[in-house]
Amino acid sequence: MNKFIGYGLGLRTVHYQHVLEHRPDVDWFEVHSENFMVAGGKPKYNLHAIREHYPLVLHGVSMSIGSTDPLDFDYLKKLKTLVAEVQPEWISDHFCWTSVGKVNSHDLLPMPYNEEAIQHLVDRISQVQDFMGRQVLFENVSSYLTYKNSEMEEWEFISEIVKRSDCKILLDINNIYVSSRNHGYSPHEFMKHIDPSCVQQFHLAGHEDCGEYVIDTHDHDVPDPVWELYADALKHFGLVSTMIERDDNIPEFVELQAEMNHAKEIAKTVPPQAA
Amino acid sequence: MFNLSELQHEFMNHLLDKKSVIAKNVMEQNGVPVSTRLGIYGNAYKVRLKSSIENDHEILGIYLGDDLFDLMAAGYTASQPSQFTSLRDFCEYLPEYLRKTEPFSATPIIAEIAEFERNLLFAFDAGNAKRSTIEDLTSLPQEQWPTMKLRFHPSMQIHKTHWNSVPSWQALKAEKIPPQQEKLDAYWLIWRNYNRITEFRSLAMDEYVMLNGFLHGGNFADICELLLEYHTEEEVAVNAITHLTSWLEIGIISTFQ
Ligand SMILES: [Fe+2]
Repeated sequence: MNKFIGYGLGLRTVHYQHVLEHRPDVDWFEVHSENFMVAGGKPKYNLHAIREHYPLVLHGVSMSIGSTDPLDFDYLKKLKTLVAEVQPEWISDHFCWTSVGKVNSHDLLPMPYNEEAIQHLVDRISQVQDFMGRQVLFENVSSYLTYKNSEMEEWEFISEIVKRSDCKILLDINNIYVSSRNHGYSPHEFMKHIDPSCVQQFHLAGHEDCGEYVIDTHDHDVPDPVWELYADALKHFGLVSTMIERDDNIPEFVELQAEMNHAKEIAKTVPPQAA
Repeated sequence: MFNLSELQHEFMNHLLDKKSVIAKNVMEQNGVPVSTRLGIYGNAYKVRLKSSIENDHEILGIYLGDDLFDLMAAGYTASQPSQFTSLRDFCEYLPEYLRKTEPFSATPIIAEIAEFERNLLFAFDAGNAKRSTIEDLTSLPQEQWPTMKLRFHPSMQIHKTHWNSVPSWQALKAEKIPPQQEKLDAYWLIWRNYNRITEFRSLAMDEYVMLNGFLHGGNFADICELLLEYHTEEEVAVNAITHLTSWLEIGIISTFQ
């Protein structure tokens, strides 16, 4: 059974003060690992101050686990140091690649869904989990294109990697919605094929609907179609630790808290033994 | 068909606006053209890097204005693809780019403003360390003074300018009109204070010489020797102690050795 730690929010710099002063009723916070891979000063001070009062999970964007460049052990060492400092509930990154030829795109770029990529990811995830001495969560990304050399659906690809590497899934409900619109598949089909015992965390977020396609921007409130999909996800997966991801156009803390509480309310309607 | 490595290199070439055949490996879906799909990634790449420059170089952005800023962002992004794990470091080479690239190089204050902002950022998240106090200094036995060396707080830096870049930065920060570019040979002390806030102030020549001497491993006797160029023999010790005291007050001395 996956550990359930309740409902959380992404911790953003503009909200540090509010969180430290008001100690809002939030079960846990997710922080971006890279923001704290610095030597010292205010970022680390605030992180430790908040950690004194809340559980944390570390979410990274730079592991580049799918890249054909060698694994970046400097990065992994920094991550390991941060893990020792912060003692997070768990750590996560994405099923994607971000850099190649030593150039970093600073974006979560899609993998082709084929056997070569599966084996590549399984090898590297195993190395990372060995190095970190723990299971790592990987998140499904929003994507805007399908490669001609993909041989399977995204959910088959993810399920196979999870089975072979024994990693966990951070399931981003918004990313499923975004990708389903961009590629014309059913988001329910995606979820139906994911083993609930592998899903450790949910992300909820907003996006920009451009009509013909949808862009994952994290700068809007969680929209109705994502709330609906979340309700369906709860029926299939049961209770899963859930957080609201907001990276841009960041509102007052209380607004994010209200969104988080909305997620909590929706979850109350789901029978506990659903999964 | 592409193997994984070829696919990634071709994709990266596309992001970097180099010749790329990645489009051959992208499906036409739902009536959204391949070029639109690849364009989403190409655009996101440029927007993300540009907003990272905006974040870290806010005052430089105001100094340049929108058009020149856009020109700089596009030029720098094209000439210095990120080799860094974190976006925090993306602008590492921006001052150098501005020093060497037209039209920015013609106005040298621009590169100096960028460099000043890099140094402020460095002080912001440099390592933590103990800070010595006046009591620590007074408890040092008299006979150890001549051989005393200093270690500074990791956030402490000396910023050297040839132009009035710092006064211009200050004016813009206060939402005032900056002065015209003019020559200004000056030294600035940058550090993170006890409350973790980045501060800076100008350095008098004798204070700069003294700091620089300690930074290069000199001891108190060596430094007093250097100060003879600025003060009489009787005044040297008093002046040196005045500076030491002020450094202890602002917390830039980590340890005495
Ligand atoms: Fe996400």
